[in-house]
Amino acid sequence: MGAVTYPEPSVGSYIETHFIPVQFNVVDQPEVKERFHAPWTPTLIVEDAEGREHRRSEGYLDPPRFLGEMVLARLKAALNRFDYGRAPTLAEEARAQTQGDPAREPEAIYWSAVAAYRASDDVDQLLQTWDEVVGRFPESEWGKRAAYTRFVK
Amino acid sequence: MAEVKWRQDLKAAREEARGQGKLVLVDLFNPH
Repeated sequence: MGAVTYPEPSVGSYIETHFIPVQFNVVDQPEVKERFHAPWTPTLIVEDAEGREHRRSEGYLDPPRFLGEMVLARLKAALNRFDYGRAPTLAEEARAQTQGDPAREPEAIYWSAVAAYRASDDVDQLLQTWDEVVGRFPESEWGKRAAYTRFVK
Repeated sequence: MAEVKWRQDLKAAREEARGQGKLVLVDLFNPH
């Protein structure tokens, strides 16, 4: 991460704009592994000021996948904190950032449907967007979860 | 602006995050 991902200007700029970054070297401070229940590195944890964890990633991420993780973290933090005013905008950002990422694009679309639903109460829109996940990514984890719509229609 | 200014104090980082309305990103890394 330190050799490739963090030196990328778009990554550094994104972190500085949206996060307060904290870094622990697990060799110098092995106790942090227990503190964060993290047996492996790199481990990335996004939490709020109250210490509530909103997303965790284990393993190396290249710059595009890192940025996808970070925008999904911001989106999940907004949803988890019932911030339905900001969530739809973050959802659009997540969809754009994760485009072409087979691991994250289906998740971004899934949560974008939830964000829109929470903001509008429009269940038809929720089901329509979940249909997109099922149609485009039927074998993905999020496609399987969205397939729930097939039973409620 | 590109270089990330990593903090080492989580408690202070949370206070900073609260003041700026931001989230905290924690990175656990092994330099080897």
